[in-house]
Amino acid sequence: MIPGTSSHYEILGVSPDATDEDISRAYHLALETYSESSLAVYSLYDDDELLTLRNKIEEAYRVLSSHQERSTYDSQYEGVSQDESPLNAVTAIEKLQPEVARETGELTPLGVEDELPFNGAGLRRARLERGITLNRISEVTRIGLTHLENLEEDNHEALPASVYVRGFVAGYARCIGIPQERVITDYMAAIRKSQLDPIKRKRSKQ
Amino acid sequence: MKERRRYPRGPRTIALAGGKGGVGKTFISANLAVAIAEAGFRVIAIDTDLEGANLHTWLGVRESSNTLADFVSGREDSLESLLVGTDFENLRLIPATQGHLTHAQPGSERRQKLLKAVQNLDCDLVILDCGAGTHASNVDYFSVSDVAILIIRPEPTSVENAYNFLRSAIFRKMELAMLKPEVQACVREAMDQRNDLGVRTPANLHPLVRSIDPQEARRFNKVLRDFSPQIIINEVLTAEDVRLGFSISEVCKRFFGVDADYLGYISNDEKIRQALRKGAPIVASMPEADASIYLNRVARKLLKQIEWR
Repeated sequence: MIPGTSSHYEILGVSPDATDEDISRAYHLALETYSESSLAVYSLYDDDELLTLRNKIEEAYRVLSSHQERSTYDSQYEGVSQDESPLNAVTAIEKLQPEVARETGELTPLGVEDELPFNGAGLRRARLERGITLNRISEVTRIGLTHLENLEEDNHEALPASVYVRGFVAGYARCIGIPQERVITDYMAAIRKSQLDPIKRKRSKQ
Repeated sequence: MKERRRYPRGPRTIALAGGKGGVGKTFISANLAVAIAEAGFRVIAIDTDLEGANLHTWLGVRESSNTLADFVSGREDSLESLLVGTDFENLRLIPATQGHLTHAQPGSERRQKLLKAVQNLDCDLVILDCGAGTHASNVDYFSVSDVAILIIRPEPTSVENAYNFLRSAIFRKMELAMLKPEVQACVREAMDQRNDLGVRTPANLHPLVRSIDPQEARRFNKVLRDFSPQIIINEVLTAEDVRLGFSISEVCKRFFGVDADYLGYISNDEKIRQALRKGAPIVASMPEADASIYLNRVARKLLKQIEWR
């Protein structure tokens, strides 16, 4: 299991000791809940997000409804610590983001190792290599386009407080499928550096 | 003769909201109040809907000269003097008046005063009928009550407004629970649904809070874990409408990270209108009607929960 993703049990909203009936009931409820015409998701999820969710639900059910596949899956699942996000809520955004990288048919990092440091220009290069538009990132992460442009242009003075910037960079990285932690470290270091740069500081004061 | 007080800590509060007008909040508030009072609990129903007050009508009480608007405007400092009796034993009402445009929603200070006064009322249970919309007062009553019930009709507009309301309530709870001003500011910013920070849900907000202060992030998780709003689907016609409650509960967990329990549903019953015309709550005037059976079922379930809390 990849850290930060949800287990098949979490996807179906059942506990790891769920019976076959529990799994079947949860699956049918989930199918109805996330169907295209469902009233329950009105105003929360768009069609793409629903499709992604349904695919995950189908996959979870395929594995958990077969005794053999389930026991193989359980042996991998054992001992994996739960991630710390609130109640393991599976948010559409978190689940969808790697899909954007996959849309391009290219998930292998293209020389990410050589792309250091990930400042604005580095981010843009990584994005363009994956054929993903800024608009698409904004759509998926709901981060404003202006913020994303300022990120790429290293227009640090125009960005909000650093806690938000960390979130932006993390969302950006997840969305295009590059290593999040390293990107955050690089980008935040670049901001600190620019704040120390006397010429830039003087300019931002004007 | 004064009855034994069941809850020495003050009355338990139940708030009913829905974000949208016309979904049946007041109808359900009135009938639950009667059903619970008939079960022997001393109940006070409060109409907090200062713009569209009609809880008194559902309870068959005539408009009163003293209303909650007097407390809100500061003309009256005690809630006790606003209490009016009803035809039902154990049930009293604090009405609001209809149609006074000057009676705006209470400001934050008055709201706190009201909530404090509610805690001092001499009864077992207080039912707060909240108005439509996500005004801060509706959100506050909902967020601080012991039991928070969302009333939803099986239609897109009602579902949309209910989610919107729930989102506001969760973020408001967070704002109140967080201690650091920086974190509070961050929550306030995220409360704007059109924020461009990429925050749609509490799950998106959590990492932001964690990066400011890990201890606040743990508190954040606790608040989310402890918040368990309840769902009632009103005017149910089909089996699909009944199942909607389960689906909404599932979506609340997945999207908002909140355990919302499906408390029950109430059928779309022609007799409800007949009862209203008679000026008597349906659970009392037509106890054998479908809607009464469902309302009583919800009341029993609620009481069971409250006694165990």
